[in-house]
Formats: sequence, structure tokens, C-alpha cells
Amino acid sequence: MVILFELALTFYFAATIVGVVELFRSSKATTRMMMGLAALGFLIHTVNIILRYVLSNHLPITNLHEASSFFAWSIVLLFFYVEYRYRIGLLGSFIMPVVFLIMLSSSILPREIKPLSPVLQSYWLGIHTTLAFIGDAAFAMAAVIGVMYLVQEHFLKRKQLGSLFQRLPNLQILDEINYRLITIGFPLLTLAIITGALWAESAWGSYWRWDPKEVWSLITWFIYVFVLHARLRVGWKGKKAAYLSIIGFAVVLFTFFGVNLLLKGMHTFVR
Amino acid sequence: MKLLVTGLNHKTAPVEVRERLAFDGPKLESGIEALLRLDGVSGGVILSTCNRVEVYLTVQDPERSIPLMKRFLSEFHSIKPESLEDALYFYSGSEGVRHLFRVASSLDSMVVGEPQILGQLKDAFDFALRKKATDVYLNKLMKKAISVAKRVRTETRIAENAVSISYAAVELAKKIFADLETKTFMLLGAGEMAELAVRHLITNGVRDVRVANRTYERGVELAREFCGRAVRFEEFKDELVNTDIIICSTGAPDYVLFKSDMKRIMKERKNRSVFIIDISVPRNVDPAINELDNVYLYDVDDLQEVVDSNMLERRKEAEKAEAIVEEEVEKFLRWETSLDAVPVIVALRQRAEEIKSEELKRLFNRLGGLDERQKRLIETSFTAVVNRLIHPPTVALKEDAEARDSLIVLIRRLYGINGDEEE
Amino acid sequence: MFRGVYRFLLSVKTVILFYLLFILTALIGSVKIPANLAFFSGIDDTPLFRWLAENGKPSLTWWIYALIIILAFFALSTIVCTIDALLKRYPRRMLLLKLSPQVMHLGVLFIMLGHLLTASTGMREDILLQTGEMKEIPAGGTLALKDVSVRKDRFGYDADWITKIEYKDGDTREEFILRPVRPARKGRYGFFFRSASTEPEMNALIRVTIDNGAPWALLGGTILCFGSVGFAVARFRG
Repeated sequence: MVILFELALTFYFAATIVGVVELFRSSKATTRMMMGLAALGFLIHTVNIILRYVLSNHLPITNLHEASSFFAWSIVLLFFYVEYRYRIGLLGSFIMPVVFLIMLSSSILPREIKPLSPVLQSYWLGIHTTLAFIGDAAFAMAAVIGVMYLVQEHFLKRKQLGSLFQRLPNLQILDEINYRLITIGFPLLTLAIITGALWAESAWGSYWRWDPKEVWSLITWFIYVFVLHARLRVGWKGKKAAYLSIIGFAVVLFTFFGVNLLLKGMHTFVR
Repeated sequence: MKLLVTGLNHKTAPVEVRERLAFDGPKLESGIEALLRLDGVSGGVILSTCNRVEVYLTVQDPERSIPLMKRFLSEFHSIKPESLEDALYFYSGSEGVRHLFRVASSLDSMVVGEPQILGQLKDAFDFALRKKATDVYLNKLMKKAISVAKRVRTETRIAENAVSISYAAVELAKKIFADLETKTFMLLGAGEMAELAVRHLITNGVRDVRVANRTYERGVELAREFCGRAVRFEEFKDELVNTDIIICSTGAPDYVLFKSDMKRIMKERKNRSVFIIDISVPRNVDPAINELDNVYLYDVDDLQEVVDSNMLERRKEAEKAEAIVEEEVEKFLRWETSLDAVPVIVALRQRAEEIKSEELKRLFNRLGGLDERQKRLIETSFTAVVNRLIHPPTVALKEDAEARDSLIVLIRRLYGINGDEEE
Repeated sequence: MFRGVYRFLLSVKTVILFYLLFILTALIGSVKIPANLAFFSGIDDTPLFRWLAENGKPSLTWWIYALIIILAFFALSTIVCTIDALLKRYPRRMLLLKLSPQVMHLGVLFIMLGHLLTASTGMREDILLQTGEMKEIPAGGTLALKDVSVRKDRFGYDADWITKIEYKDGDTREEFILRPVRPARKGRYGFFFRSASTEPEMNALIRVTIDNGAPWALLGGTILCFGSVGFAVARFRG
């Protein structure tokens, strides 16, 4: 089982390296190789997650190691979907480093499966966390697309029209996909917060307890509310929207790692 | 019949000389007529663009025609022959074919890969056809040159990278917008380069075109040409709220679009991206506009830089193109030799000899028991018949220079003699 | 004057300003709580407004008041924006895209209403019961613990706690089972399992609540979910 995780990590690392190489000299072969490595890593990763599920008898997201592994898995899943749907060049070169870094941080966190307190043994665990992770994955993807937008925008503004510029997709499609990802991520985050509140209500008799994770989820939610309003009402398109989606993802990451590691609360998994 | 190419281009002559030698307007018609009156010339095509003036002739003897051509050009354009001495180049035979193929494929152009030369060559050929100035050989040559150019374009990426400033503008637009079909476009002012860019945009799908010109009538005229709509110059800024691509070429001495204007416009259009191409010199759009978010301003120098950097890429593709041209030249030369009279006469005689000996053999077998003398008499009589039948076409091929090309084709078909001719 | 206020509430710039203020204040709060954990530990056990009234240390709690004020502004602004948007007419094809944000606004308003009701009129009590013992609920009625048992999973870990509770109020007498994440609603109270033990003696910590805001918040949450999903659907269709 440990081997499976390390193996997936290795494949993601290899895909990252090939992806970075692709930035400088791309050919059909490098693209195919990157996708192949990522797919292989994903397959092994999936088996790893299923195995942990069978062993622990609950969704393997009850410690930070499992959660970040699952987070990375959701991002790769979404990456394959976006790649299949839009076929925008070089997306893998930008997304795989993010996946690899999340997997790397997962690898250094303690891995043992600990018993779950009865409060967490509920079907809400699956619903609440899955929604949150897919939503977070959409935000991660939106941020990466935002980075691609900023790179391409920089080239166009500075008139540096090299081969990377030639291979990156056009600005409008990047902006549109960024927007779409946020419009997927936002309802998922909303549903995650609301299912979380329902769970809290049935577990502790109060649907909102202002614990740090809740507060930070609310801040994240407010940031994306802001992103949507800025787009719809003020017309913050392109560069500003790209920056906002990156800031949003930074907050998501803090909510994910920072709150668990720095602040204490309900979501510390094991008590 | 031999090919002779006489001409000059941007590499051999400065623009002052090229200008004076240009066959433009009525000069083209009178020029072609005068050429055909020259001694030993049976067909001609004149290609006259701003970068080159070339005359393609079929002549009896290139060596003899070269001095004639020099004299003709200096007399026709009233230029001293000395000033042409260094500028003119002459290619005959295979050299000439190669030169034409390279010109058509845009390998000899100032901007290698630019697509306009092919259209110009087609026009030149069409004009000569209409004037009945071409012969079978030239027709074949020109059609081949056009198909070679098309092959080069499809098999190499030579024309893919921005080949000219207007093309570079379209390529950039495609990196800003996802689909040009839904984008609106405005031409501000006029000018040849601007018009070219508009055409490129339209062929790439831009449908909604507006034209704003200082003189409204000219604007209306241009708008009609592009199936667009004319806008009064005073009102163009209001229209910019709904315009995604702007080409500016007004010839005004100062800026016509300022940063403050654009700031307001961007706010009104909710920051939807705008691509502005300023190809006027001096510039008409305040360069500070490029600092605004979602506005991309390119002036003529920026575009030239794009073109230059693409040039390098294109040089690699040019090598592939040269190989294709070489292959096609060889193919054409093989066909050309089949057009020569001597091999046709030889082949005709050979065919006749074949028939004769076949028939003799069969006759001798059927008669049987003939002695040597009888055999010789019969053979002599057969030979006489064959010779008398072959004689007139042979003479015609040798002497009727005017109709030789068509005769060769005719004889090959009538007697079933196949050369290397393809198609 | 009215027009001016209307404009002010509708203005995107004001809203953005309040957004930033809200995020800033919430940030301060999320630092203040862990720094004064002892002081804030009781915040969860009583309705917010009563807790504030009883423990009012303005130097530590001012940000909560600020958040309430900002939220009140948001509520007003949201109402105005929603009315403004509903007054406009849209082509049928655009209806979902234009109306779903207003549905979301409505959901948020209900959640805020729910929260306001919880914070102002609710009740929350933790009652520690031992088997056989009967205790009074301050708002009326009595509670008794009948039995506590633990179910272990195949690894020997606690999988579930089962407590048998008896609730009496006047003539009504009900016996029910309370387990983690499986609350019970009897009369005007909600009962929740908090913790229990069998050693050294059987006891259970039971939470009793009156939460008038919860149904509103639930309604608001549901509306918000529908609105946000509808918005995503409309965006992808267009």
C-alpha cells in the first residue's frame, strides 16, 4: 500500500518533469508521454485509495495525509476531464507540478489509519468531503488556468511572441474556462458548507460553531462570491479575474493545510 | 522552342529602376503586343509587381534573343541601356523553369512565403491568355508553376507563419480571441496595407465590419467593398464600445485615440478585450493605451518584429520547398524533351519501321518459297510507301516552327507515340 | 434622500468595500479566538446574543459586533439588489442565468434570518445524566438516563454509543434512543448525544436545545443550493 502511494508519486513526478520539458520543446511524443505518465500515476493512485477504503471501511480522507492525497487525485481527475473537453495545449505542464507538490506534502504527513470517532461515522462524511474536494479541485484548476492566462497575457502585452506563446491557447478561451471552473467550484463549495452545517446540526445541535475551518471556509466562499460579483457586475475579466482566482486558491490551500496545522478545531480529524 | 526569362527584382535593382520598368495599366497591353512582334518570339507572359518585372518568352534561340530583349526593354521604357546592364538577369531552358517555379512558390520573394505573388502570377498569365499571347509550351509551363506553388504551400509550413504584416495581425488576433466569427471590426482611415489586413481578417471569418473615414464618401465606398457599414469619423469613438478589433491607418499627423478615451470605452464595454493595430506612420494611437488592462496595441514596428522572427522559422521550411521545386523542375524537363522535334521524328520512323518489318515477315511466310531478289523487290516497295507517308509530317516538324509544338502533340497522339508526358 | 440610500446600497463599490471589511474582520476574529481560547470556550454553549450580553468584554468581542453590523448591511444591500434585478425584464432564454443569482440572494437572506433567530431567541443546555438520575431542564420538563451501551467494530474500536433517554413534561412521557449524529426532536426541544461513558459509572452528556433559527437556515441553505446549481447549469448551457 505504501508502495502504491510512492509509485503514484513517482509517476506524477515523472509527468511533471516531462511537462516542464514540454514547455521548452514540445512534440507529439512528449505530450503523449506526459499524458501516459499522468494516467499511469492516476491509475495506481486510484487503486491506492480503493485499498485504503477497503482496509478502513470508510472514505480515506480522515487524516491530512489521506485528505491531500484525495485532493490531488480529484485535481488529476478534473485535469483529464478538462483536457478531454477543451484540449487546450500545455495544461498538463502547468497542472502536474501542483499535483506533485500536493502529493509530496501528503507523503510527509503521518499515514496510519486511526479509528474514527462515532461522530464522524456518518454518510455525511462521504457527501460533505467529496463535494468539498471536487470544488477545491475546480478552484485549483481555475487558478492554474489563471496562471496560464497571465503568462500568455504577459507575452501579448510585452510583445514577446516566442514559441511558448505560439503553443499556449488564446486568451479568450483561457478566461472562459477559468470562469466556468469557478462556476462549477462555487456551487460545490456552497453544497459542501451546507451539508457540513447539516452534519454539525445533527451531531452537535448547532449548525455553525465558528470553528476555524468553518470561518475559513466562509472566507473562501466570500472570496468566490466576490469573484463572481466582480465578473458579473463590474466586468473584472481577464487579468484581474485571473489574479482573483489565484488568490482564491491560495485561501483554499490555507483552509486546507494551514487551518489544520496551525489552528485547532472540529476538523482536526482525530481527537 | 526555348524558354527565356528576362527580368529584374528587388535584389538586382533599386525601386527607382523597377518603377521605370514596370508594365502597369495600358503599358502591359502594348508591351505584350510589341513583344510578340519581336523576331523569333512565339509566346510571352509579363509579370509586373512592385518587387519584380519579368518577361517569360518562348523563343527560337535564347542566345540570339538576349540582346534583342535588352534593346526592347530600354526602348520601350525609354531607359538608357547602360542603366539596365547590371540589373537584368537572363535565364534560359532549365534555369528559367527553376526560376519561375521558385518565384511562384514565393521562394524568391522579399518576404519568403508571402502568398500574394501566386495571385499576381495567375493574373499575369490570365492576361496573356486573353491576349492570346501564349503558346502550348507557355500554357503548360505556367499551369505547372501554379500547381507547384500550391504543392509547396500544402506540403510545407512556409506560408503558415505570419508572412506579411497584415497576416501577422490576423495571427495575433487569433491569440486574443477564440473565434473571429463573432468579433466586430473597425477600419479607421484607409491605406493599402490596412485594406490588405481587412481582407485577411474577412477571409479568417470576421463578419461585422465598420469603416470610419475622414471623407465619409470614401468610407461608404470601402464599406461597400467589404460588405460592411460606414461610420462618420466624428462618431467612431462611440462605435468602439462594440468593436473588438481596430485597424488604424488615418495618415493624421497626431493621435486620434487617447488613453483617456480608451479608458472610458473599456469601462463601457465591461473590459471585453480589444485588439488595436496602428499601422499609420506617424502613429495615430497613443502608445500608453497598451498599459490598459485587456487592451492590446501593436504598431507597425511591433508587427514587423513578429514578421522578422517568423522569418527564421520560415527559412527552415524554405529548404523543404526548394527540394519540392527541384523535383518538379526535373519532371517538367522530362516532359519538355518529349516536346523536341527530333525524338518525335525518330520515334515516328521507328514506329513505321516496326510496322514495315512485321508486315514483311508475315507476307513472306504466307507466300513462301520466294527467292532473294523477289524478297528485295517487295521490301523496296514497302520502304518507298513508308517513306512517302512519313515524309510530309517530318518536313512539317522540321520546318513549320510556328506550329511545331501543337504538331508534336498531334503526331504523338495520331501515331500513338508516347513520350514522358504526364496528365 | 431615499434615492441616495438606494444608490448607495446598489453601488458595487460600497459592496466591495464592505466585502473587504468583512474579510478583514473575520480574519481578526479567527486569530482572536485561538489566542483567548479560555474566554471564547463558552461561546458555543449559549446563544450568541445572550453570550455577548453576559460576557461582554468589548476589547475581545468588538469584531463580533462589527461582523453583525456588516452582515446587516449585506442583508440590506442584497434585498435592494434583488428587488432591482427582479424589476428588470429578461428574454426567456436568459431567465435562469439572470434569476438564479437572485435565488441565491434569497437563500443567503434566509440563512441570515435563521442565524439571527438562533442567536437571539434560542436555548442551549448541556445536561450530564447518570443512570437512574432525573434532571430538570431549565425551560421545563425532566430528563432521565435509562441505559448506556457501546457497540464495538471488528477492530475493537468504539463504533456507536446507544443511550436510552426518558423525557417527561407534564402529561407527556417519552422514551427514546439517542446516538451520535442521530438527534431526536421531542416537544419544543432538540436532543443531541454529546458524549457518554460506561466506566466507572454509566453517564451521558446530553445537549438540549431550542433553535428557532434552524428551520429558516435549512430553508435558506436549500434555496442557496438550488440557486447556485441553477447558475452553473445556466452558464454551461449558454
